[in-house]
Amino acid sequence: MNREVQPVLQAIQEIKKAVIGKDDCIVKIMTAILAGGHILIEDIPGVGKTTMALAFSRALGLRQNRIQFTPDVLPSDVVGFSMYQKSTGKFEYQPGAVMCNLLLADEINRTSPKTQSALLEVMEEGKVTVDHVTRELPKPFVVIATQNPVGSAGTSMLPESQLDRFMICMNVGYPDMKYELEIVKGKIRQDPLQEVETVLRTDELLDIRKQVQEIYIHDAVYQYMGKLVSATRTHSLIELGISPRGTIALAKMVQSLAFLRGRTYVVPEDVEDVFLDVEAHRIRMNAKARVNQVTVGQVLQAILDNTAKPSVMRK
Amino acid sequence: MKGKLLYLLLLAATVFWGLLYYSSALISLAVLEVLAAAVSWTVMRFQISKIKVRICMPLSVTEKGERMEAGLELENNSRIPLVRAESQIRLKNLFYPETETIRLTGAVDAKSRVRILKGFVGEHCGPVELELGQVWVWDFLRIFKGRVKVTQKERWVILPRMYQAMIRPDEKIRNSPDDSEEYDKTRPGDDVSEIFQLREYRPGDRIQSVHWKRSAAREDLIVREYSLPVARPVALLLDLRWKEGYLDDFLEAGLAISRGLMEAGCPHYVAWMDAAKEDVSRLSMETEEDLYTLTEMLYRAGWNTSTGNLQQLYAEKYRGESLLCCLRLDTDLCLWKDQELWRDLSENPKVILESGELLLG
Repeated sequence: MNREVQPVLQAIQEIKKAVIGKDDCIVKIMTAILAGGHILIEDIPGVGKTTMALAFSRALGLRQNRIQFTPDVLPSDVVGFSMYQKSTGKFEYQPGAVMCNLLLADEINRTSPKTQSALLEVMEEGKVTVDHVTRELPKPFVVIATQNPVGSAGTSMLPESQLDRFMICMNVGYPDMKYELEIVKGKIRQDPLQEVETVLRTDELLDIRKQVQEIYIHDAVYQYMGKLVSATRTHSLIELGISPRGTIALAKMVQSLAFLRGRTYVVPEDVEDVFLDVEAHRIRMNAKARVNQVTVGQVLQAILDNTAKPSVMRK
Repeated sequence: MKGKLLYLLLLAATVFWGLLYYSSALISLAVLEVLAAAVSWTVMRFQISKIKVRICMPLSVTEKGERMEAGLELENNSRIPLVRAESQIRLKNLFYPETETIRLTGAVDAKSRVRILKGFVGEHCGPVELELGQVWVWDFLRIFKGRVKVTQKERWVILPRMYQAMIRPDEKIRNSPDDSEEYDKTRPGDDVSEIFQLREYRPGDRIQSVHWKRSAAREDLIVREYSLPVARPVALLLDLRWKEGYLDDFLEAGLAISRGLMEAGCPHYVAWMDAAKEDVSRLSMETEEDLYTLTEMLYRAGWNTSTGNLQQLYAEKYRGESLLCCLRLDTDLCLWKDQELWRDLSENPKVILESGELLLG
């Protein structure tokens, strides 16, 4: 097992102290963070999204900001603005919410498309330009955005072209009742977030990201990913298949997952395990599928089942 | 059965020779054979209680002529591998009185799940019901078989092939009066009684359309867009009267005509006699999704044996509406326009509809 993965696994254990019963979600988010991507959570309020983000920021030593999107949030609230200072007689830059390591962007669908675009542009470029001055964002920079599909009338749900910018899109969902009772008991006694200790520093996290990029992917696995992606572009039930950005995201995620599993190489099972999480939100189904209630998950699973996996020798 | 016979022969032979030669070894062997069979039977009954079986169908929708896979998913929750399971799945096209039965066999390791799939090609469109019938499990000596009680049905929808008829509505139909209580869901218009959407101001928008209250709450000017009333001067009646043989051509032609009308910018209704409801049903056709919704509704309606005149029934039910043109397609592939035979599509409906431009007016 790769020794460098130990601190990450320890961080996951710390996060589990605050987020109970959501081990899968924690691993997926950690995988996406190590892969250098952003996360979109589509879920109802009150399932622990904020707690999860706070737990991650504590465990990974990340400076955290939260922005609750409403229809009147402006792009300048997100990226910052220049304000005239009478004392100095100059315009000074006031940092926006993005000037942090981990940004929790709550209910991104409630704000205007203009403000959404401002955030998404920053996520893509990793820098902010205000009054012709470009400023780099702190590194690492991770966005955990949330969308609430319930009561979405009058909101601007992100279209597929914007969803593409998120490494993964996931649901947290309700916890099992036994875990929910544990959470209730825990919250009554004390705030479980206080128990989360910082295990990694930001420079260590950046170093781990570099190691993740070194994880080896065999040509056969690249071919396998290519076949899966191609199948989505020609499937009779899919209108919009996976873009090259989606293919790159898939490659990064499988490297990250292989790293978390203690390997220095990727195996086809890694691709199978992350394929749906990474690609489902990038696909648009056609009218035939929508009317017959065929879901993206069903189609992607069928593609996985029908695509021959390469045989790769394991060490 | 073969396994059972072989076992009984072996047991009989062992007992016979054991008694003939007073051989305690052979008698012991016979006892062991009986014990082995008893253990095997008991294990089989235990496995039956730990097995889960269900129909596995990765995708439940295909187009006619496309390959699809369906079969069984066997989950073995016991620590003993299952050497053989057999099942039957019955496929019934609900549009036609024919069924097909497929047999599937497989084995499952301990604590694992396996899928046994078979490929099919849907040759005729319609809803197909897959029914999981008997599931038999064999013991590891292949002597006994036990039945797993399961009844499950799944639905596979085979869609007709979509093509488009070349239809050209005349000026009278294209510019029919817009006095209607239905509105276009995709385009704005000038009917001030209904708001289509609110959006940001663009240069050229009228000042009278500004929504001042909303604009005051936001940084930008917000304007109202009004709705576009949509008149439907054309109705396409699909006469779903039962006829022998496969009626794929009829369904495909009906959908092609509707699609052609949509592409020609002619909003219309498609109506049919719903056998289940014993009434005329209709659907307003505007987008591609409506074509698939129509297919689903026709599948649920099914063929009927009514003798009433569909056009008269439609006119009676919707007597308040004025139609400029009423098309009717029957199962003989004759396309009627306002009670007169307009085109006979029976030769080759796809070729006739795709290549011959039909002037509607």
